[in-house]
Amino acid sequence: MSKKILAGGSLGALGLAILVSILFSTPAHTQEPAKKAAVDQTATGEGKNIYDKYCAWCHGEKGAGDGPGATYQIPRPRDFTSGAYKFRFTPSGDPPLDEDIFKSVAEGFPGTSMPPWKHALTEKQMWAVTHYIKTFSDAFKDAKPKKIEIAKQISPSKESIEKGAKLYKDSKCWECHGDEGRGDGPSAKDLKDDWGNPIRAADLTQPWTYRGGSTHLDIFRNFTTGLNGTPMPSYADTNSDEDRWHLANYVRSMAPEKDPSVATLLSSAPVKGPIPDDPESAAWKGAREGFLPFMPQIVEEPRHFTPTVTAAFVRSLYNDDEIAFLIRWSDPTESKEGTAVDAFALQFPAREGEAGTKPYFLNGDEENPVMVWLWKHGTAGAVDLLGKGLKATGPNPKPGTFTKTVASFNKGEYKLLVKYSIKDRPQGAVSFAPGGFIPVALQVWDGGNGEEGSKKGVTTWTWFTLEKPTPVSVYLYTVLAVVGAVVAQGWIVRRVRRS
Amino acid sequence: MEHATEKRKRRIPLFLQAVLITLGSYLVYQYGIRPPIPASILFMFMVVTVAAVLLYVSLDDDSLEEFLRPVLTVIRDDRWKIVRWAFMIAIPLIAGWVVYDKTVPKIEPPVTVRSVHPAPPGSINVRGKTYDLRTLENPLRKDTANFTKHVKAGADVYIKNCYYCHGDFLDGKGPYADFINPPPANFQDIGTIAMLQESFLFWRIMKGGPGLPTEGTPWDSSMPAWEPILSEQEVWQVILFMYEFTGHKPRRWE
Repeated sequence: MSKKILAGGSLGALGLAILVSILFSTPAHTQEPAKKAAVDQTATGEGKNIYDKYCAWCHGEKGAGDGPGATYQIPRPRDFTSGAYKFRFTPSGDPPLDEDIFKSVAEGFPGTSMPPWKHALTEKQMWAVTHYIKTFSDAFKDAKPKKIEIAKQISPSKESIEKGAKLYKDSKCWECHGDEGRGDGPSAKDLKDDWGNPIRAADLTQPWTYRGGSTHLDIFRNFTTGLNGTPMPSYADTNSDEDRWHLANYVRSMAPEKDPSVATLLSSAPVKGPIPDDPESAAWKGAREGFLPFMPQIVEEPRHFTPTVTAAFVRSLYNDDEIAFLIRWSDPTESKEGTAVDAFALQFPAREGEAGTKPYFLNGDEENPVMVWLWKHGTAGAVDLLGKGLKATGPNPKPGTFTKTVASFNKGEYKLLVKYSIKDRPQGAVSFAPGGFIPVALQVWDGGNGEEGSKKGVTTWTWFTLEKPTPVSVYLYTVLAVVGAVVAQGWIVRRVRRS
Repeated sequence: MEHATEKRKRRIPLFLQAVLITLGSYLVYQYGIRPPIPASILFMFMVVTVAAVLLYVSLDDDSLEEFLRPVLTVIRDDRWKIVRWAFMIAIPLIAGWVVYDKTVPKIEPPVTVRSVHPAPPGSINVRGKTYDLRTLENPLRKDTANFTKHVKAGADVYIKNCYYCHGDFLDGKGPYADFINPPPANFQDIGTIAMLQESFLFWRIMKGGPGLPTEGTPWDSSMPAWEPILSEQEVWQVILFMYEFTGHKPRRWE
């Protein structure tokens, strides 16, 4: 309720004040008055004004999904002329409810270029634009879209998830979404939507990129209605309500309930003895994992606008001799031959700098060069490069030593382990001293997506530190505090009880 | 007199009063003050509060005695044995935990002091042409006949280059905005383009993060230098668009 009042209040118009009071007085049907008011407004063009100002850039002036920004995006902006909408509460093939369009405008689609407009537009404006969008298509003429019934939810118990896993197999979900859900199934390559535009199967392990939302209900709805205009069909006729809930429970169980937050600091934990090569070992499992999302390299030519790899998860361990990184990321295709191969790079400043100074995040420049640890699939191991700009990155004249590179690709996920010798590092290189802070940035290439050279995913700088082992004094002080408290209170209690 | 005091105090025992006041004060400091106060200030407030409470309960011998009575009862009376032992175990553990928490090294990234709108240089050189930023004005503002055309062209430039970070609504919330620290500028905010001259924007777009002076911590900024990609005209067009879209007016020489 308060949101509506706030949103309405920001317009400040007298008419809106009346509207707000209506909203306030009828809590049961809060959206109705706004909707009606918007219909009247559409006649005077408010919906069109808003559309032309905010939406036409991507969706095009005539709603055909062909605005100037359209070709730079996967998924492409919706073509409103067809009336086919992905996320709806109506049966497969039917046009959406007004509320479905309104929700899409208000909430946007995670992982795409469509932002949540509720931060920028008032509810009334969003209803106006909702009605205007419908005028682009004949599909809404005389159509009375009917809301689907949502069958009673089945709780995500272990049994339900197991049933869902079996259904995932039997219903061939894996053909596109892959055995472990990373969008890497055998049919995932070259998927096209009804307009012939490229479209990707969702990576089910990353709910923060689910376009239609990541609640169990959102997923159940998608199984029920299908995503119109895409290869994702409706399973309403082939799978029972219960089965679709089991499936939704299974799909949601592929990822942790809580989305990871972007790391502002990556850290490396000290290990006694050798650093294990096995990612499944206890030492690696116990290491803190940092989440870093990629953006495409859109600055220097050739620019890249449609990346596949969305994020990497980074862990690190070190001992006196070496520092090791273990990185995992989703990639729908394994590419190790030809010019465009899958690759990954870690970037550090080439020289030990003063705290706070960083090179340019895209491979540095002449004055502040960077050290690039590049791993390319199909090669023997990581190599040490010196970067003085994206087009001036080559072998490091004084390279460091990689004592181990282990890479694996399994069911749409890469795991890369790189060990760098701190002991044998060239003079002047970053020393990786415990306690210090070093900027680090990541880069990734998906060969299957034609990524090579400057066409890649990048991150900006994040701090990286080697955690110092906890000093013995900390434990000493802690024990002292406990013993002190015991003695002091023992003395008090004795005295009180004797008096 | 004695009787009256007893009666008055029986309503809420003094010890409970002290606990409630201390707890209530904490809740007010922690949740009642907006914007929230830093932990160090909260700690100082609590020290003063506890001191005041102790002063209050020890104003005279009677009240001090009443205050201490529950404590002494728990210590002396064996009916309270379980509670006594619970406290005697809990207190050293809490003491140990507090000391451990205060002494164990915490890892926090270094803080960089950053000037958001650093002073621009007197002049810049873009592809061999020198621009005097002190007198530079947007030449397209004089071309009133083609104003709408320029704004529309600016929108095209924006959607193809800028919106990824600065957002469709120009509010700094583009699809990649969350991955960038410091975050992309919000042009809707009155603290950005509304208080800057167009020549400042021209400099920031052409030279990007790499062109910032030291106090602007050049490499913290992910803003690219657009001079290799955008023409002079395109930059002026996108500047026009930014002001038209947000409704802000550029600052002018007085």
